[in-house]
Amino acid sequence: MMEMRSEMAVIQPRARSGPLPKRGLPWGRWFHWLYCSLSYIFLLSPMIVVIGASLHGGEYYTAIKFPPEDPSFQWYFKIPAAQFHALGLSFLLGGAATLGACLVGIPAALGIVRSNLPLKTLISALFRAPLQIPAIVTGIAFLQLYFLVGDATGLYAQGTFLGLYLGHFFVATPYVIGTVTAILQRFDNRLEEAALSLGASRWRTFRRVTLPVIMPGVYAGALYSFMVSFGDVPISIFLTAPGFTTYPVELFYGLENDFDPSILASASLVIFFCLIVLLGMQKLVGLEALLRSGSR
Amino acid sequence: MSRVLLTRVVKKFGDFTALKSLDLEVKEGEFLTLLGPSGCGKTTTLRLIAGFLTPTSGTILLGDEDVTRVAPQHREIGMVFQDYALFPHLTISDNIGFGLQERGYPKDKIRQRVDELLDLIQLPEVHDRYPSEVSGGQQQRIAVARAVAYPPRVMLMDEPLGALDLKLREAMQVELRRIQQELGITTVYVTHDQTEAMNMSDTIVVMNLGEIEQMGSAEEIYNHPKTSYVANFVGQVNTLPGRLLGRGDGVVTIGTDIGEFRCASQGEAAAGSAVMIAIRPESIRLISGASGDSDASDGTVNRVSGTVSTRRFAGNLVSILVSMEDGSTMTLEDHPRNLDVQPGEQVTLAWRVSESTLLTE
Repeated sequence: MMEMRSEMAVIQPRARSGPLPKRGLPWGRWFHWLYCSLSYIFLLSPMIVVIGASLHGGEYYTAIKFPPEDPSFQWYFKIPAAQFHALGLSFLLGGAATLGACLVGIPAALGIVRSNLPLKTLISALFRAPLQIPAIVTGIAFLQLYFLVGDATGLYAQGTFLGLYLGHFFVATPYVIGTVTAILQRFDNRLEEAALSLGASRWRTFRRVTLPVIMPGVYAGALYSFMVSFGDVPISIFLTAPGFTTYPVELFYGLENDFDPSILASASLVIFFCLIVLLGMQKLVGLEALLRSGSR
Repeated sequence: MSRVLLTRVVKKFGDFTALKSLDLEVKEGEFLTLLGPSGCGKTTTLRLIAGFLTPTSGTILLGDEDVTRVAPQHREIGMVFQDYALFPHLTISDNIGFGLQERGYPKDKIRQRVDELLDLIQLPEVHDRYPSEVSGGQQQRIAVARAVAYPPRVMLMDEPLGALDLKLREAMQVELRRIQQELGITTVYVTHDQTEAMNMSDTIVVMNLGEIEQMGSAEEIYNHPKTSYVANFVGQVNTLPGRLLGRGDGVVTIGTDIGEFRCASQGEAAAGSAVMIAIRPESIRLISGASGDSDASDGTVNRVSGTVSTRRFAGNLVSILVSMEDGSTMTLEDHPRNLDVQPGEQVTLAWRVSESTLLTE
């Protein structure tokens, strides 16, 4: 044994001095805390300022005041009715755009992942194209299109729900396609074969196996679509008309033309509303559904 | 009556021919295994029976019914996949009851059947759990229960034990065979593992390059392989290439580089043709030192001498490698007490004429 060792390269273990280093150095943990705290402050501070400033209790003025003086809810009672109308339209539009995006996006994703059409890459690039066009260009393009169609047929779509809807549907759909495509690529086709072998028809297989398994992707895509539609200004601003505006456009005009803290109050309400909806979704379908579909 | 009958089935994928005119019959209640390396066409055959693929030509019968162009959902088959393919979003009860639900059975009937099957697979307490919450072996048994819940005309299994570790795989072989026999279901099983095939099957079909190489019981395949491919795929084998010199009564004489040997043969290989003798490592006995055995002269035993080159101990078995005078080697396997030799020793090897097989290709 010793002889063999002498022929090999000799590596002497280094002598160790002092105690073994301990893990979890305190400054490391402090740094971790500091980093996370600063990140959260950065992300949340605009919202805190909006909510804080909406509680301004003094008389009318034209600048955002934070922290608020003499906090009160007075501005919450002075929100103009037009903003509620706009909010209603935005919800309706967002919901309809999301529904349309799902109805088109899910079959499109299935086609992109499963088919072997010769022009598959081109088609999938086309479906993603709306994300690559600056939104303001999309808005102008739709307006131009509506003028062209209007001039030819006498039916002008700008300022109508349909006109607005098409624009939102256009930008919302790629999000559903994207998330559903991603989850379909991980989908085990044998699940469908198993369902078929058990006597389920193609449609029943889709309903009972494929759709439930890709549902987290649908939820995620639907959430994105709704948020994109709900928050959109650059497209909507071209396709709305006075008296027929979406909520962000209404806020935008409000800030530009006659600012007062009631806009902040209205924005705060929406922030709270969204917070409640997100918490609800998290509880209903959130993390658990995502984890379940990910593991087999 | 045959339960599955494939007649002159050809399957081409573009220019590639996966199956070249396959004829296969699976009898009622039989456990038939398609054995071969990947790419031999065994999985293609299974998927053709399932209906996930349509043959380029030929017909497939289930029972007396021509199902060649019938969609899988109308074939009444049970399929078990290698990675189980349990529905992740359904409970184990719903997984097992899926086929019954799709066929419109009432809830209480389904519940009763699910209970029955969970008893059969010896997992009575898992109804409301999800597939991800049970172990791999349990998932596999659940997949079997799901496949047989609505009695299938044939159960198809595609390497169902491939994902399990060795110990569990052996236990599951016994388990699957028990379930299959208890239910008497005609079964087609696909594997590349010859031990698995021999442990479970009534009939083994050895496939190679889209064709059936040999079909028979485990013992027939092992003891009387027809080709060197089968002999080598099923177990270990020593092959001695040579030339057929003469033919006697069920016995032929073959000349090789290390001497003349006699070999059992029912075939019709002509004198002068190139052949091979196949001898299983466990069929060879060891006679230490120089020859001088009593059964030397009666012609029922072949013998050859060589030098032990390595000895490998594997617990219940020892295998030794013996170098012949022409440089080739032969492997022997036996109980350690019968192979008490060391590398470098001169030995004589002996095997019965009846325990060697003539291979023609």
